[in-house]
Amino acid sequence: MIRHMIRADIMKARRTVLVPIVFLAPLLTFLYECTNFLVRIEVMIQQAEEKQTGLWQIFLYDKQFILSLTIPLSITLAASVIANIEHQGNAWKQLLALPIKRSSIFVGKFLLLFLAICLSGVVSYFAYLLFGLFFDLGDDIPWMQLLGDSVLPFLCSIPIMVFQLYLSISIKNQSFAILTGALSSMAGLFFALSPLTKWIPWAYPLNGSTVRLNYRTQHLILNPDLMYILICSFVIGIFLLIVVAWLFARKEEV
Amino acid sequence: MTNYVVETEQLTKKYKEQTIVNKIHLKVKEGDIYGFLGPNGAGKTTTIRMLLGLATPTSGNICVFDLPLQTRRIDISKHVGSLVESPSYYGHLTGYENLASLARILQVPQQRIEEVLEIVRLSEVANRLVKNYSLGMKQRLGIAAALLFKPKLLILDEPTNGLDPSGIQEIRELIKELPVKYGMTVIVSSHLLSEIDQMATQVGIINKGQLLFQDSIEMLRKKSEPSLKIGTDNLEEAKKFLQQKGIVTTLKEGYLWTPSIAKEAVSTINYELISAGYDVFELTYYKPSLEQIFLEITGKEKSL
Repeated sequence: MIRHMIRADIMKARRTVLVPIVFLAPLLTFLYECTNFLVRIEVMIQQAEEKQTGLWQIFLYDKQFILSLTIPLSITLAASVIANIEHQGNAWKQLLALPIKRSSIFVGKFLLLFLAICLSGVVSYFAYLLFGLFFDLGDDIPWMQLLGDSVLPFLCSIPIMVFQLYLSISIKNQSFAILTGALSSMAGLFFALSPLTKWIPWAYPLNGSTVRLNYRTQHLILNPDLMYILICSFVIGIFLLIVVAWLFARKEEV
Repeated sequence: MTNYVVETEQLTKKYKEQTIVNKIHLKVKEGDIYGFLGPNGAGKTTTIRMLLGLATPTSGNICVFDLPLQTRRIDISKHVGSLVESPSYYGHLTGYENLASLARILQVPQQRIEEVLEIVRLSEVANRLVKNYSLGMKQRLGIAAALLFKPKLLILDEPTNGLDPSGIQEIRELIKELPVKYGMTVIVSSHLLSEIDQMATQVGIINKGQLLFQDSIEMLRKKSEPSLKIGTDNLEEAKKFLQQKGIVTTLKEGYLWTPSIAKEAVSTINYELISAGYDVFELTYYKPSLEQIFLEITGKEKSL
């Protein structure tokens, strides 16, 4: 059932801006780091020396700041596009009168969003690799870390996906969902900095990197929280999805 | 069990304090074209939304195919095609893709898409984007979508809304064919009696949330049988006088009315009245149109 839903949803996403949105996060990260390494390469080299590590690690550490903004923004836009497909042509009433479970309609749309965002992660992998080769960040390519840093930050954002999709679906005027998405992605940067609020889902994109700064020694270390953040993202995300799909199915008026 | 395709009991919908649909008992038999008639804001769309499970009734029951809608919505909706209010469509897809996206969910073979496009005569524009369709084409696409999985019951809410006369004609012909060709039962709502008159077999008239009339279209037509309008002075006495002569009349709006309209009867009445010394200043046939009956039933005459 869900499989058919996704196939239908993929078809409906034709000719929408969903595909460009998949490239949004990788592209912005790539461009941001390009300016960084072109304009102030000496700063980056100096940072690498201070933190006693290589340029690859500095790149992975630095790109997370822009990524932590572009991931929630891509999610916000993608969720809005997916919901808007149904809003625009008054299609909800047709869809909800079909002989399918209402909750699976919601889950189908979520899976499309999840797929698009994961794809964004995969594209990021190639964008990082291309960047590293282009700027010659060194021969010691950290393959596993590259993979982790491209896919995991996206996988850490499941609760945000559910939240944004629900907002976009339940409130027809998309400016509301987009404003909320933009503000909360910025709030996430601040949440990520405190040891307590870093467990709020909006902080996950920033803390979803494989590298992290040890504030005491000022060295870059492997992120010890990453595994917990991933688990949190899946547990909270799936819990939220169940609650929200239930709310969606129970709605009295369509 | 009953042999009704759709049956509602005490169906009621309230929004806050306002009662939109008030205890209505709809009964739709198999093979009927049920015309659901009422002025704008009478509660037609709300009722139809409840029949489709798009709105939850405040109280009352709905049975479709003898199954309770509340618990068996999915089983029921496998056999119900619908078009509610404005057409639903994906503007950035072609007409064909619109139907294909539904066909994927419903597991309908591709060949059926072409069939329904043929039925609603959209085959030629199937590969054009729907946002470039005219309203009539979108409406027909909506009907195609409703027909996609060969429903036993088709629910159409104002399907001819916003169409030009030829479009209206086309949809009307299409709806009339459905029970004959495919054995479907059709519920079609409208605020125009003339439209229902031309296709429905059964009629339900709703106003202010109440079902005022529900019977065959013939019964409604019977209400429009002609009568004779007699204008005379001294109405009360004239009425008694005619009664003695065996002619039953009723007094209404300052005239006497009688259903005897044969030529001889009219002559007799005229002769008797004048012989008895009454002034007769008017003798006319009066045949109310269905529209007038509709207005009478819904009580809208005064407000118009």
